[in-house]
Amino acid sequence: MTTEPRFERQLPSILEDLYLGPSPDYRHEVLTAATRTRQRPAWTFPGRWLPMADIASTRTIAPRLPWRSIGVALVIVALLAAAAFAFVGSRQTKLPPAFGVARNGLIAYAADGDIYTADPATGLANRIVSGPQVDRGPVFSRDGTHVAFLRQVGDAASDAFDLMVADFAGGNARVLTTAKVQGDASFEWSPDGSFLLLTTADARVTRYDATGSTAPIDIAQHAHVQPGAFRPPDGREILYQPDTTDHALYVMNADGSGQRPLLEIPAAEAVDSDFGAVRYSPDGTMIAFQRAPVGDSNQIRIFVMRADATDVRQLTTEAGAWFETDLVWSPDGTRIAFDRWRQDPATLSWDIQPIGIVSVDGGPVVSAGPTPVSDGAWFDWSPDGTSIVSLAATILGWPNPAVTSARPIVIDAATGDAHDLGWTVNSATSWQRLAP
Amino acid sequence: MAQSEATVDQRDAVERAKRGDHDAFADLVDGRLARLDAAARLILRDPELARDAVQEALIRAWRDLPGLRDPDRFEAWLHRLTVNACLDLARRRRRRPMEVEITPLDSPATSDLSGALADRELVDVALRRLDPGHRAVVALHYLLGMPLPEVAASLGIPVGTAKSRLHYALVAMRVAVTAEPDPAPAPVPGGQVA
Repeated sequence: MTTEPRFERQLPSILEDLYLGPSPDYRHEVLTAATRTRQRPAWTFPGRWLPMADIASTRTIAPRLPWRSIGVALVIVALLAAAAFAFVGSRQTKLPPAFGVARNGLIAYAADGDIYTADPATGLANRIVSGPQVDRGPVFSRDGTHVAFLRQVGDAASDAFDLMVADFAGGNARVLTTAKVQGDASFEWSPDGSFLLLTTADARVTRYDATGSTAPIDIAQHAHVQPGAFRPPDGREILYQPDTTDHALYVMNADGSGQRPLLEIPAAEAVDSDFGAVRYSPDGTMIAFQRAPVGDSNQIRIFVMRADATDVRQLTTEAGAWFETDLVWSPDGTRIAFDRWRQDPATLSWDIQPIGIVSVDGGPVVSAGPTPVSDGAWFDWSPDGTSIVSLAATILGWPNPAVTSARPIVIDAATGDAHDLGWTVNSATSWQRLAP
Repeated sequence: MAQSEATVDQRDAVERAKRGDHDAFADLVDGRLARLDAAARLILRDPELARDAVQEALIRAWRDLPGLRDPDRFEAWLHRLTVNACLDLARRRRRRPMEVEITPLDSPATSDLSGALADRELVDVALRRLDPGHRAVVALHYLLGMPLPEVAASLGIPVGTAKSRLHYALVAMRVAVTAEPDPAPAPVPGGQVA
């Protein structure tokens, strides 16, 4: 157990010995070539533009107001609004719960810079957001009523993006970000769809009101919020990994307060791949995660524990050496699907395997669908928990994806049968949840 | 105190470079160029390609510097530009055989010089068998000191995938050093052997 961590600790100095030398002799040449290039003026970076509201707003002197008349009018308006609200509410479409099983809706994806939704049953696709800008990475809110995505601002090489939200049919698209973010930012809807948390690559977490009506709030630094981080059912707690260590899990309140450690792996047991994928179960009582079994740093397996970090147990126990990651709970909380690689004992190579599914009670791992590309699959459960939508993870590279498009498949979770949906996509997919 | 002064100096240099000050940009690059070159050689295993990648990264850095909002992120931003320039070049030159020059060892890093030399050569052999995507994760994490979630974000891959790449690379290097086996070049998740 001790040799491997020691090797990892020595590796930086070994690599420095191997590759780090004095400043290379081409220093003058490359610097000259670089500074001979014309700098882009600051104003060409849209993130630096002043918000139009700041420019347009002017101070005015308010006239004396007839408060009594305004008060009466407000009461009347409130009564009318309440009546209208009651009427509309009685006819409003029922929304799905934020967690648990729901009915399958449309699948959202990005293609050719636009956002599409498509019906997996019929295969029919509909472009819901279009235009000259490049949009990518659509994610449905958990109630299925809205879709959030990133919009590239500037030219094709630009790494400036806006976080956008639109109705699920593409209408009422609006910008939430007040300053541009980089394309490697990730975001996560709150359970009730009222706000989104955006995590930048340098581990800053910002809360954005989904209506765009209130200013964004930075709620945490040095924190990586990943999918499955909101604790069901209300999302009042958020699970995250601090960027200062790979070997600890923390929780915080939804406003960023109360940051505290939940589980820390002792240094003697720590391995570099601890905690790559951490998710609350749909009922919020458990947490699934990946880590190396104690005393065996050669492999990474799936573990579960209670939400208070007690009763930790290894869930997958198949013989051999396995690397298991990118885990996702089924909506009913009974199964976990994950990417996995198996080490060939003869060649020691790690060979990609089909997506694995294991019961939360343990037992054998069931393979689902065809073997993905070697970097694994980007996948998610259908809201009804009967199938999995999957595509090659490598298309998500940005700004230099190894492969720029993929064809998503749907895998039957019970039989493992898969069929091609017939769409070519440039982003991960998101499946809309509908009321059962 | 010294660290905060350095931070202030860097911010000042970034701000001046953003306004077109060549000397400030040179100051920013000078302290980092050796490590950028090292990372590029680790990933590309070809000194000439590494030089091309570093040049491309610096051109982009200079060109786009006025758009960098947070001066404190300069170093991470430069690392990211360099690694992505390496991966771009690797993809364009995939079929070209690559080799790397190992930096001469001026003095023994440990008391056991022969052991250290053997280890680093074995690590180098193991790295040669990995594809550039795996080496990029190793370079960003172990040579440039980037946390793994940030590595994943920089490369645009899921954190789990970044971790699986790192795990694969670590096992390959660890086996090379501890067991000294000589298996045929193994198939590598994510791509071809360079």
